[in-house]
Amino acid sequence: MRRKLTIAAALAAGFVIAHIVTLQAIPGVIMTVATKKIGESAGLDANTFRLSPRVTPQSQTVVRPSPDLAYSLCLYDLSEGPIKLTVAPWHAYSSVSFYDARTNNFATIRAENGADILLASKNSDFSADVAHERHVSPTRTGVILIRRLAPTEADYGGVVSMVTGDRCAGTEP
Amino acid sequence: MKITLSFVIGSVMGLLSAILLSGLAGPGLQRWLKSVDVAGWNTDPAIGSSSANSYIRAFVARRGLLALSKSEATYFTRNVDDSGERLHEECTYRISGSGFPGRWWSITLYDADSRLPDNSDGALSIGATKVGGTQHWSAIIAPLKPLGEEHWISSHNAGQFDLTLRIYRPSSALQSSPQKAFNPPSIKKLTCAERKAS
Repeated sequence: MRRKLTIAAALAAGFVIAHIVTLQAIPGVIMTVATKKIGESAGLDANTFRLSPRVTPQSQTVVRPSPDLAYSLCLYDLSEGPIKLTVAPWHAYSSVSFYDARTNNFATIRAENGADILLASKNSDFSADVAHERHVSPTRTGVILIRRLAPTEADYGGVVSMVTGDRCAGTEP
Repeated sequence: MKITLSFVIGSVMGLLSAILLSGLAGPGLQRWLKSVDVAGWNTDPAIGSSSANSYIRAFVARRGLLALSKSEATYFTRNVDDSGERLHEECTYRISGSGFPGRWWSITLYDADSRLPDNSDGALSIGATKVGGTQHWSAIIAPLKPLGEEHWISSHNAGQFDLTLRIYRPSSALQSSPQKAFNPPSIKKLTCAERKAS
């Protein structure tokens, strides 16, 4: 009887541990795969904004992209310290969203009028910087995504001509 | 030996159950999520929020990676017509509605793999920009562009599909009480192509 109970306990322990570990790992694994795919397809280095090609069935790299939006991406890495973001203004809907390495959307700001933002890790001291809106990333790496409403080819062309004003870069010169 | 084997079997079962529930394989938690259903349009207020539990986070990472928080966008998804039948490329539908409580909106068609259907029709969605400032709007969902219709969403190469309605900067009423604040669009089936005998 005792042996049967021990076997049942081992079965249950294996189930619970594997279930929880897998569940916790899934968002991070999916994010890692997605950012790698995005980085490779866009030739994107860390801490650099890049405007994605106009969303079409042929260009989609993530599930459920919106063909009405122009997406600019920065794969951030705070290993070397905080990063500064400059987001150029846009005449229609525009937002900047921050996702940590586990896919959590930890901040979103409105950006129709442009934005200057400082992003740092949890233990960074950036109290001296008062010129930027500040956000803290729960993880060292993640994704910053600018969405701009651009439902037509002409709108997308307008985004192309102004994204040179976007910056995602380290704070050190 | 038996104890080790039991632990290994339990681990495999735990891993598989997590994969199934997260939607990495199969429909996942879709049926059990505490979503709000407004006339067939489903939304889950937990998506994008810090309160989302591990199951929802895993599910959303698979089906809606890089989604916005609910204060920035409300997402509604629908995969059936007004008669409750699954939406399919073989049929033609009329979707119609009125304005939504938010800054901007769009409705986009996705195939069963949550991807834009593989076509070059340039008619993947409709939105507030395309239908103009009119309060009432309607569009045809069909694999071929219909004659005499101003607005069209192409279902070409979609197979079985669903629609995602995004309402950006939703009103606080929509965020807190979608059942009351959301006026759901209707989807009426017009015709279906004859199925080819196999």
